[in-house]
Amino acid sequence: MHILEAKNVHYVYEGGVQALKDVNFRADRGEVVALIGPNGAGKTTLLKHFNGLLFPSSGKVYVRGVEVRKENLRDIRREVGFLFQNPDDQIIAPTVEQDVAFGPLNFGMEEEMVAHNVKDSLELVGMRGYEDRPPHTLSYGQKKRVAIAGLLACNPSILVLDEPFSGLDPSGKRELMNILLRLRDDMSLTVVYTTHDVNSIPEFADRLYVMYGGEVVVNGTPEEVLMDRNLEDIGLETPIMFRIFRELVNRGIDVRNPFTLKSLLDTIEGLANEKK
Amino acid sequence: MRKNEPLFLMIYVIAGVAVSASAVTYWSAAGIILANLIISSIFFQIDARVFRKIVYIVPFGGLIAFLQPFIRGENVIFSYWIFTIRAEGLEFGLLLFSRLLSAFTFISLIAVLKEHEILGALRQLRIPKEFIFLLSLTVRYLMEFRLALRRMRECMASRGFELSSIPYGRKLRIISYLMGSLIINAIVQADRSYEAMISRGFSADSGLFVRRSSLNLYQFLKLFILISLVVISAIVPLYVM
Repeated sequence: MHILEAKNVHYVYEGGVQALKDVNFRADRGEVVALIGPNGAGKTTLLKHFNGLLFPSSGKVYVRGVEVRKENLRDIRREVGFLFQNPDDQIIAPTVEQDVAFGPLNFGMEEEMVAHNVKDSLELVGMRGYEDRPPHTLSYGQKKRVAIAGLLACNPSILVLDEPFSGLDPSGKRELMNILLRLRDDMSLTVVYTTHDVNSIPEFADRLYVMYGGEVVVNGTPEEVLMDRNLEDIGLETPIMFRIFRELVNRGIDVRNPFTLKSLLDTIEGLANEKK
Repeated sequence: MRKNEPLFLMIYVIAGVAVSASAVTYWSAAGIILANLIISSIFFQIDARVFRKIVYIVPFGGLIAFLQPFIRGENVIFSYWIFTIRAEGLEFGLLLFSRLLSAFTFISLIAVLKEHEILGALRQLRIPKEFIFLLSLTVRYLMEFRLALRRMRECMASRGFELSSIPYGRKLRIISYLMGSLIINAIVQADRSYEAMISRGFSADSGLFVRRSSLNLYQFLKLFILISLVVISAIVPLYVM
């Protein structure tokens, strides 16, 4: 059983725009799944199905084997934490502590448990000591971390993140990535996220889905997808490492493990030595 | 503020407003103001500068008090052109103004609390959670809109727009663009925030997390003494003046 699954999902917006066409998707426990595609490819629409913010026009979505329906939304939303792209949309309370406690209180947790979860979640994202701070005094990266703490406080098993790295500087991106990897490794959380930052995918994601025009055009491990598929064709860019590897392979140069920086350096070093 | 001080101060303020509203002469109100100033500076050690905020709120109630001599009473004490001042109205206006002023000296003490401390104390005082929730959303997004307005003004300034240097008609038009854009942003933001709220289980029963605190016997006693002092300061002038 997959922890998250979409089967033959179609979705048509009220105005008649078909946003998803026969989408199949799956994620397993403790897996980091990246979803890439140009703007308007249907990534966010698909993510919203996982939290029950949207329901398929046809097809089915399952969370831990249970179909997402209006009757079980509360359980589904507790299980699936959804991070919106702009943290200012998500943070609604006048202080960090109150915002992080918002979800657990809604899901009926006891106040003592809520206070405990708030502390733990803020600790996990490195925001302890900011409990009484009003959100407008935080930086963009800090707001993102507070928004993630708000999801963690509900004890979800799946995090669905809509462009979590957008608007962050390189160190903010790295910090957030480390937090998410720690959550995956320590708590076996499943992380599904959309991104335009293809360079981060090889070291962060276990599986990659590429969407275009409302369809999943290819999926697999990042190595499989990025080596085989020319992402430029659909308005994306291929990570620089993979472009170099692909070019080396095209020129008949043997690259033994074409996915790591070390392997690339070894290959270049070998070529340099040959020339000498 | 320490854990239960917001609650302590809030009860003191509410009691002070209630006593101010029941002052029967303006001398009583003056006594209450004096007592509050002394208690605030000695007991609460609140900087007297917080009372400057009264200037902002006095015009609201002050205008009603100011109109009283012109619209109330029978005994004319001064008349010129269409203006007639009557003794009963003047007396009532002065009493009203002194009550308001006294109440405002208490209300302005709230300025030393942070927004979440005020909301927490109000919730502890059993104000309905729906009201607290709405108030907290207002507090949160007022700041956001202030920042949005500032950003928009900076964008306009970067394109050479200066409010002071353009004709009134154009100024009005530009300000209406600004307001229109802010309102549309607010509607869009409200939609997105609501979606984010329901994704975290928001329902009709939802409320905000409030740190629990309660007053101990010693604090109750202190509060009783302070409020008693305020009440006494309202009664003493009745016999002295």
